[in-house]
Amino acid sequence: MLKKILLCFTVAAMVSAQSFGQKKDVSQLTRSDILSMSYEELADMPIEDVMQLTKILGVSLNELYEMLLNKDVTSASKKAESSFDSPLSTTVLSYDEIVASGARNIQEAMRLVPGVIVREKTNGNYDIHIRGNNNIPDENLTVYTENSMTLVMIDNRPIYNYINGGTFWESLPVDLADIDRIEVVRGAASALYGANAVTGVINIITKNPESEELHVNGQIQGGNLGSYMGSLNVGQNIGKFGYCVSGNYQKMKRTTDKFYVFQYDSLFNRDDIQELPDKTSYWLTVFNPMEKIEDWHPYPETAVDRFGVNASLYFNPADDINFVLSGGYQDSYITSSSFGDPSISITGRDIKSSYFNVIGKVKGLTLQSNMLFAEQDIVHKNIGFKADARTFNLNAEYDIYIGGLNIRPGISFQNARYDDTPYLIADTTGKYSSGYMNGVCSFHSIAGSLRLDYKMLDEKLRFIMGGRFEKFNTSDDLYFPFQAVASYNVNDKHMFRIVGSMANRSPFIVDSYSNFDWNRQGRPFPSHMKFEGSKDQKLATTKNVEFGYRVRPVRNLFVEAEVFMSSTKNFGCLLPESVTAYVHMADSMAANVNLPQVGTVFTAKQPVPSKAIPNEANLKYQNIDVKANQYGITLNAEWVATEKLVFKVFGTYQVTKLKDHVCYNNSKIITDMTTLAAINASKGNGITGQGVDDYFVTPFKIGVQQQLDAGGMQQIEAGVTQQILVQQLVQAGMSQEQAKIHSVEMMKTNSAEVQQAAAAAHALAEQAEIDVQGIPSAIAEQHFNYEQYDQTLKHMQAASVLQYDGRYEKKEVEHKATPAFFGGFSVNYTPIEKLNIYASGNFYSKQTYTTSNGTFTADPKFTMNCKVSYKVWKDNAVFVNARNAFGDKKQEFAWTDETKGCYLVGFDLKF
Amino acid sequence: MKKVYFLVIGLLFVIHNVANAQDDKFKALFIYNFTKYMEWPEAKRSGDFKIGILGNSPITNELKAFTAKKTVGQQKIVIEEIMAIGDCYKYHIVFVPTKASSNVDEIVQSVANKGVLVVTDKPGMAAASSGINFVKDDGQQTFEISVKHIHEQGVNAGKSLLSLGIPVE
Repeated sequence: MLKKILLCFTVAAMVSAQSFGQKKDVSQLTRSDILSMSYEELADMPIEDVMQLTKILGVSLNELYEMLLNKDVTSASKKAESSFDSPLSTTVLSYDEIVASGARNIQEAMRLVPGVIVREKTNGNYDIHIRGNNNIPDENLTVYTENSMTLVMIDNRPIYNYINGGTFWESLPVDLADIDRIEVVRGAASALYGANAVTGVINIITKNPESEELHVNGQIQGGNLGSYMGSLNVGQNIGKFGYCVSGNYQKMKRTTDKFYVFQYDSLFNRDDIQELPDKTSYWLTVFNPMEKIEDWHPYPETAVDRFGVNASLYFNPADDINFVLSGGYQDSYITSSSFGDPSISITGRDIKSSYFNVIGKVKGLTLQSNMLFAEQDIVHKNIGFKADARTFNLNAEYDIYIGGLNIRPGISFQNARYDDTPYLIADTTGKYSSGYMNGVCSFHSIAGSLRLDYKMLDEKLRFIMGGRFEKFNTSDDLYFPFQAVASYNVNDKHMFRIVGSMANRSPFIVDSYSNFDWNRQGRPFPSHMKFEGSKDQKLATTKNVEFGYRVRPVRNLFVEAEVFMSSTKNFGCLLPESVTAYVHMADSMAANVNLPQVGTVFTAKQPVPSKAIPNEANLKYQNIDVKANQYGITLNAEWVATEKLVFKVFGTYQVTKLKDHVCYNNSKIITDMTTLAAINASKGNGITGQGVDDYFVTPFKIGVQQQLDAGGMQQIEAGVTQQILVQQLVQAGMSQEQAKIHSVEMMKTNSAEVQQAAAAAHALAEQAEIDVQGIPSAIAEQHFNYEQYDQTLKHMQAASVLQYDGRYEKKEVEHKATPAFFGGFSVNYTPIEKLNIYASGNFYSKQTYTTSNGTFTADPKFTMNCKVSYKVWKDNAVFVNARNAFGDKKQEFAWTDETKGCYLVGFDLKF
Repeated sequence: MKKVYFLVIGLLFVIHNVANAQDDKFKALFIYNFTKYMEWPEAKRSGDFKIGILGNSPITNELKAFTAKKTVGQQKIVIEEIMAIGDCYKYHIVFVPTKASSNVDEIVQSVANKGVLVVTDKPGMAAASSGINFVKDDGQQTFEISVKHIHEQGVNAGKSLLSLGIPVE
């Protein structure tokens, strides 16, 4: 009995002790702990503890508001500040939001950013612009629809394609798991980051190890359209050192395995394209007969196939001294819109690259250096488009603080070197001629910068002046991008700012060094086209003014408005400079077969196919007069309705007008140049050589000779034999009529007279000459000049010689390639702690692209996405993910694939 | 386009249901805690302990969840929706949601000295007439307390409660 009492006492004491031990220290509870408490637990708490709970919730809610609505950003000033205080138009996308959204890659995540236009080209490949200004000039090469005005960086390391501008997004070595956040700065920012930050900056900030505990972030998912992808990033600190390693893989199929052929305005199977007849010249084919389409497109169904690996080492010996060494490798193949000008709209792109990046911060000094080594086949297997690339960047900046003034002087050096000779075959003299550059081409720049950032009135009023002198080796011009900002924080609820800035693009290899001799044998005229770069062109430059207002009327609501105006000039493109045309100044040609003593015995006639035919066209990179004037407004609102429900909605309305716009269609210009060459040649102007034997006469003569060899000469010899017999009979006293009749009878025999006459005729026939009539023809050269052409064509129209549509008259036109209205929204809902639903949508209004291949209209489109994830262990979650959930098929980019819904299941890793 | 309408309607439904759920839960928890720190007149210390909510409010269900197995002394706690202002005198605590705040003065007059604590949820209400009024202080859910008004309503407030709330004269 005593034992039972002792046992009961012991158990009671243990239970009591345990329950005492379990009494919660309220002050140590987290928001998550509180939200997971039961009604029973809460009800049993004294009111003092309840007050403590609400305090924790209140603080944590404020922290949540700050975390969601006022993220830290570094790209707008190159130092950490809250996005509410950012002097520029800035958006920060956190890793958590990107993962919650279900974006399959970094490109797709950009759909969550205000002011950014994202259009899918093929499954998983996107065109990304900040505020547009794309497709300038229009009517020219498709490549000018690509964005070359936005600087994309990874940890301040430019990821830029200096061969012709823009970003090869698939060649980024990092993927979702590597991201800490993506910072987007809208508006000109060359004063901060140098050339190419014309419409803005996209800076992908990667994860750092934050503690000595191992962090693991990643996701893996798979679904329809042959989609499977994953990325993983792990890292930790070990004492003063740290590391991160990561890997990623992505494979997605196109929504079709067919290819759009411009001439036919239709899709064709790959293998049917090679022999497809050219509609303009039936004896030619649409596809270049010198190349094989199965080489161009070995994987017609593949949209994306890529992987990347990265590693970073960190050394933090002191709070204000740290170093980072990073390196990585990527290999990618995509099928997407072409950077070339082929007869089909989509080509492959194959890029392999490796990099290293060193960042050192020692007190106020920041040093960064990086190199990229790449093998870029930007139009897969199209001869001339493959090159080795090497870029080098070195930046140094030093921060000095004097009271409220921050002074930051800096210097930088940049070099981009491209070499296509490893992929070309030299001729017998050792020269290369089949490439786009045919040699090693490089440009470099050196720059000095200074930035003054002054805060006064308790840091409410802020003035920023920044400038940068930059000199490129390709030009004598000195560029001075600048930035002037004034911002005023009325209080923590209202912030006004005004920004004036100027930014410029860098030179590109293609612009400066093109040396492409395009032998168009087997192609429609011209027979040769020469693409030539030009180093002395002015760089595209934009001037930008912005007014911004941010307001947080209550803690859980953030609203931002930015009004912007910009004017961009010095666009450039490849335009015909001169054309050499074969000009034929008669309607038809005649070839007479003349025999000695006999005269003309046969005449062949051939109509002239064209008055003039362009034989050689020289295209040179040139500045064009067009200016893009843009104004617009972007509105962005984010509302944390509760900690479980967050809304975001944003939209941009903008108008872009092109001033001094003329026709930039190379084909039309070459045709007009050829026509005018003919007119001038008829007046004796512009003729560079006599006759066009090589082109018109010789082929005609050969054709006639072939007719003679094929039996025509036998007939002529028979006719001449009869003529000789008639002459002999007339000389013997017979009348002409009787001689003709008698000679016919004689030709039926093989008499000695006939044999002699035939031998004489044969001897004469051997001396036959073919004389081509219908000359004069000429080779004429014509140079292009907009004003002159406009005047000339107007005169010709007045004289009823031709119809002229005024295409060279400078006009102001509305730019329709950038949608006037675009934006998106998102709803992030966490009904219970383990369940998250993220729905997002994007929309844009109608847009019309015009290139040398014609006009394409993309209809307005709304795309809906949704990811539902459920945490199965800590923050690790299974999910279902729907991209383009309603399966809208409308094409988003000119002549690229129809889109389809992509539905995936996967797993998010986070611990 | 129908899909978009469907989506918008769905979103509005979600907003309506979850926007203030967390706040309601803690307001209900506070109301339950008030029962521990108040002293009601003798006449109201028998029978059920009745908490009434004026009109339809999500706090009703939250209160039911907190008080399902609870008592005040020996009194079982009952949560009811008040259908008529004239019935307010029957309750120990009357909660007036924000949307019904225009009725507060009438309610206070009807329950004067009848042992009914009037709890409101609109800025300025404690200063005007209610005994306790929910407010947010820098994001933290807390309450204002008017000793004067509580006494006028025939209820006594414990000192510890007075020290936790924001006093209002």
